[in-house]
Amino acid sequence: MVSPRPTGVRVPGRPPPHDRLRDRMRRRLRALGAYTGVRHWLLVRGTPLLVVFAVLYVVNGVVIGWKTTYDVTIGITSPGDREVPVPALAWFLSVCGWLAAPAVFGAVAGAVVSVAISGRRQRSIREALSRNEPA
Amino acid sequence: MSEQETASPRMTRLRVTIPPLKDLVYEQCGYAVPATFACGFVDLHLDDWERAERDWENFVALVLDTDAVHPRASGGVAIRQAVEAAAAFLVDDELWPWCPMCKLDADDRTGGDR
Repeated sequence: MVSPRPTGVRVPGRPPPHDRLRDRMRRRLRALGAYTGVRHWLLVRGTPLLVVFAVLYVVNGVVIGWKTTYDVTIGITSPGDREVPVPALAWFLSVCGWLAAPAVFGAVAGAVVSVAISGRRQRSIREALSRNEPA
Repeated sequence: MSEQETASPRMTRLRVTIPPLKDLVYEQCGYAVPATFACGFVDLHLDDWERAERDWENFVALVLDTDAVHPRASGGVAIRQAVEAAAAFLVDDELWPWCPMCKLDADDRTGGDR
């Protein structure tokens, strides 16, 4: 049975616009506030940091060489070392390597562990029994 | 599962995205919003769906950061709480005479409340 239209409601004169991909993506981006804790931080802050780090890594890889870039990132080689052709660029990478990257990867690990931990004891007894019933 | 979640099989999984106004028009939208809300909100914007949708998204995004959403709610549950709280706030007894997002824009342009 169709509910009667409430009194005083005017149907909009124009139909809604067609849903475009960018509209759907925009709504999904605006909904990032729905997440909490580390997951929210990763999506809102961690992703841009990771992008910056990735760009820095690639630029360094192209300019100073991939092996040197890797060594500078994990601290095997000092950015001021003689074999580093562009120390100024390598210094930024080095700081990211021991500051920003561990923060992001640590947050990822923390999120994974916290999801595993908090996922326990979420079901009711009825739900647990219904899943264990034979087909 | 609540009655709303079982009313429509399509709506059993809460999606982590702000539902557009056009999806809130019907009773079986999966959200407990007043029946006249969506049409009334579009009417406030003089049938400009794009502007109404944009203001709606901005308002729900704002509500997601308020105490209207439970601090431990996350994902689709948080979205549902924000949507229902936003609609309830805007309707109350009757729909606000103006859109709060439009008024914020107007206030910013005029340099605050006069």
